[in-house]
Amino acid sequence: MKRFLVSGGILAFFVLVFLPQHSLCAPRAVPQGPVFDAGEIPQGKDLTHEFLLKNAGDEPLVFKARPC
Amino acid sequence: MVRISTRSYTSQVLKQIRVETNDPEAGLVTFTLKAQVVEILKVAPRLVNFGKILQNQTSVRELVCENQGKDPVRVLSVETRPPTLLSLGGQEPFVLKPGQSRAIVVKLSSGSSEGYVHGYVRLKTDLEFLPEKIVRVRADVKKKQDPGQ
Repeated sequence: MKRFLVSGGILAFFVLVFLPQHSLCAPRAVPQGPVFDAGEIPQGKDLTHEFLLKNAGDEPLVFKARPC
Repeated sequence: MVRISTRSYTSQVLKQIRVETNDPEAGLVTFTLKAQVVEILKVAPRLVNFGKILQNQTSVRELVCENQGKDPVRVLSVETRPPTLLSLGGQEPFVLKPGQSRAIVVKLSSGSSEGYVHGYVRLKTDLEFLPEKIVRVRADVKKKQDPGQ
């Protein structure tokens, strides 16, 4: 009985701690290189860069960029 | 892709792009883009303000061009708009070696119209990323008092 309770407790612990993170169906936005420093550039040259946003979740990631 | 024109920058560029997402844990992601803009051909002042000037008068200001780069800069032409209002001391092309500077004389002939007048000086260069540089000019033309009044 005691063994059963201990096993059940351990199982409950893992279910409560880990299951919500892994089974929760949600997108997860992970920016790849969120800061980019282009260094010195001559005046007039366009400053361009491609930022990458990775979806590490298990649901589609919807996003909208706003320059500020 | 983020693209920023550096034409109006003379020092540091710092831009942030905020991305709103449907991630329940990271609803707002921020990307930062920065650079140090090097003004190779510096023209001072950036705005020529003649201030208050009376009708039918002539006033003169000086623009100073300086090559702050590491290679010579060729100024291919210097012109003013409107030519009826603004003229130059000299319009010949010239070359500025690194560290060298040169003054350009800008002359304003106010004419008979009252009010604010606007124009510009345009320098065409051989710089790959800055083929022309524009310096705005403005003045406030005031009515000349009649000596009989």
